[in-house]
Amino acid sequence: MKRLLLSLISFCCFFAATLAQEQNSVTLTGSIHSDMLIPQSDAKIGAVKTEDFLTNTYADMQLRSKYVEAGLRLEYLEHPLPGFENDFKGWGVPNFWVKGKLGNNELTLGTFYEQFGSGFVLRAYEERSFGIDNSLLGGRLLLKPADGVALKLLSGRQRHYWKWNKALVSGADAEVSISQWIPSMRQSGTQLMIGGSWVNKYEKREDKVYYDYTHRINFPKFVNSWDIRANLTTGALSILAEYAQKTADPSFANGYVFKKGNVAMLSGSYSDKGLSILLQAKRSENMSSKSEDVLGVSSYINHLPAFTQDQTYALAALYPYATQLADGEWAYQAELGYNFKRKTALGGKYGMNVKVNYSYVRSIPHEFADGVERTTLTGMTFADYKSPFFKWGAETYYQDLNVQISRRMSRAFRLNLMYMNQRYNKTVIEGEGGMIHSDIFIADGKYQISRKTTLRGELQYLTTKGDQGDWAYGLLELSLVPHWMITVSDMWNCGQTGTHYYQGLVTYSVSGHRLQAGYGRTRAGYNCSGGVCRYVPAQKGFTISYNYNF
Amino acid sequence: MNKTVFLLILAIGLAACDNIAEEDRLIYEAPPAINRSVLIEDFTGQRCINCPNASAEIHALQQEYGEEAVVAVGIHGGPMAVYPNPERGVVGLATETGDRYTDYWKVEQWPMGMVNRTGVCPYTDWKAKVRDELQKSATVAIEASASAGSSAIAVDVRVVSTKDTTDGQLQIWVVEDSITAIQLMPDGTANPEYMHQHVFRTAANGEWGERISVREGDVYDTHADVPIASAWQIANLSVVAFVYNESGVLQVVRTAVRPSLQ
Repeated sequence: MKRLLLSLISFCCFFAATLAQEQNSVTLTGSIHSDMLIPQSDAKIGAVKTEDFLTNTYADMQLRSKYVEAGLRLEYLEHPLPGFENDFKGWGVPNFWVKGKLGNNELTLGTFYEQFGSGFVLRAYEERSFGIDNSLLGGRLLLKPADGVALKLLSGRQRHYWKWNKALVSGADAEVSISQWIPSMRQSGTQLMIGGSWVNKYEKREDKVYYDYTHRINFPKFVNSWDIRANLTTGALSILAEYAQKTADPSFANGYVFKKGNVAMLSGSYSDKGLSILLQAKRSENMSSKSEDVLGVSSYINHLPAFTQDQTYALAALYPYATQLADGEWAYQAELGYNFKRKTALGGKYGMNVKVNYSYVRSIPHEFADGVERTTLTGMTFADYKSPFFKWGAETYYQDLNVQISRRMSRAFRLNLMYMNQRYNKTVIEGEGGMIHSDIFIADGKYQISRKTTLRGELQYLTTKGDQGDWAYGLLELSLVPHWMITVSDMWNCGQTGTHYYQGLVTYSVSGHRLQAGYGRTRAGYNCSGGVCRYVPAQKGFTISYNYNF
Repeated sequence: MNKTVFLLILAIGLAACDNIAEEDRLIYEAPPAINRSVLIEDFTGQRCINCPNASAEIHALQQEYGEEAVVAVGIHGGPMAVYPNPERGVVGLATETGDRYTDYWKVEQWPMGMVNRTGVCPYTDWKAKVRDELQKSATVAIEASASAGSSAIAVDVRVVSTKDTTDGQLQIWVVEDSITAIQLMPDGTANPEYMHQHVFRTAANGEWGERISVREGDVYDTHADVPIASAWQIANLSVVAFVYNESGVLQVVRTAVRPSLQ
């Protein structure tokens, strides 16, 4: 492994040197991203100071020329911010790559990210806020042999914090744009794309898992998964249908069951003349796919997006949903949006946008031989189950109905209003806590004081009889363009603890640099998956965040 | 070109199929020889819904190999654990020492455990680890006795090195069985009548034990007096004594605390 790494780093250096000789055609780009915390203990919220200074710091650099690109990333996480897994800690250069380009074709050696289709069988990506970087170390070939045809071939080992998992992940993906070859479709503006993917995991497990005291599980060395999809766009209408399946992949998350996994998705959207409609349905079963059977957020080969709306307001995002990969789910989402034109009865002088979103996630049944139906597979070692495709399970995982109205009230003042009704199954998602039913009310006003000065304010209230009861939130944000932004906020648990989670931030931006300094408290919470939970502790202290792009 | 790539992918895909027939999914291995006892440190908590599954696994292991061969200690610590609060009638099983053990071993998910201190792992791995550890030869023998006085438990432990010189730490813990206290269950419900077994109560000779170095054939004797806390039921108390070093736990014994004759 070390030899492979040294070879790849040498390879990167060689190409970087080659590039450097092409003075006129080479560009250097990069970025620095550093989040810092000077922590303080706070008994009221349970924050404990473990070190004097904590930071997650990343520095990226890329050299680009016409035929060759090279890049690397330095990560310094030796004293990481609270809430990441133990193995997250460390520092080094975990990402390094060289890419050769010829025409529309590319060959990448080193580390790379990739996604096939919606990510049902492969999604190698980085999400720093969750500590996720499941890049692959190996090779990837992108080919475009004809108009409308794109092929991908790849093979590599997946990053697991500061090591690479032993399993070899290989795959191929093909996308064909049928409409490119049919003139009548092209002329009518209709686009039809069909695609297919295949991913193989080869892993010779060294650990032993026993079913009983004299029988251990014979893990398959190969796990195959495949995906087919079709995307039709005609005028304002777009339809995506996708299906993926994987062979038996017994793991801790699925109770070591020898059972195929599958996911089916149908998504349709329509957008025309101010009207937008989105309808989606997805059923998944036993689709947790990892390159090593470890707990936590690392080593996932695939990704199933949650069919729930991403919420940006603090209290609307207090109880976020996470897809139940191994246990499976039925998920539905519908959204209707309409833009009332200005100078109409409902649109008023400046127009108005109304959006209604509904999402519902339900368990699928797991009917075991003993006649008992269970929601979670944890602890059901080696027990097979039946799960009829169109049948619902007993539990609601999540439900969210929200209405948002956005309206400019005057030349200087814009108002957003939102109401959200939410049901959140805390037991399934976090490990304990029962069903939390909450109503959330949000008002967000933005007032343009002068050409360069804007004041924005948020008032939010969440009311529930569950968990910690009611919450209130207030925020004021003063923007002084082009450089300054000052934000103060407080999230107050008025239902049970009376705790204030206050925060103040000052941001300064100038020519590629962005510096943010602040002080405040952040609440504790649980992050759970696969039947086990990770605790993200409360924190308090001075924060500094610095970003620089060059 | 396209045809070649397609055929190559197809060939790799077909060659890589590895559907294991139903009758081949399990591999038989003969029952292990029991050459020594093993210690399971079960990191647990009353708010952890999956923790009763780990307790059930311990019970099953003890049924299979015997309680003498599989010694378990439930360490309540971390955010899933509950501290006692007599004023509110809360029977909590967390201790500050349990919290420190949880932190030291970097437990970040629950339930988790260690078998003979060979690394923190989920309970589904315990069968394999217990099996491996039982088969290893014992290099040390431990005898322990404990009797309750009016206010303290008198603990005597003797360590005999049976092979080479034994360097390590001797740790003595007090544990309690049959404590009725609330526990969140795997179905999400709270069970106020849950019976907690082998709950860690206190360390009798320091949180990390005492240093020992015993030559082959020699003995090491130690004595500790442990104050009895008011919440403890003496009839349900036991003492767990074990010797460990950087290679793990070398041997462990558990003995019941004899109640006072008074």
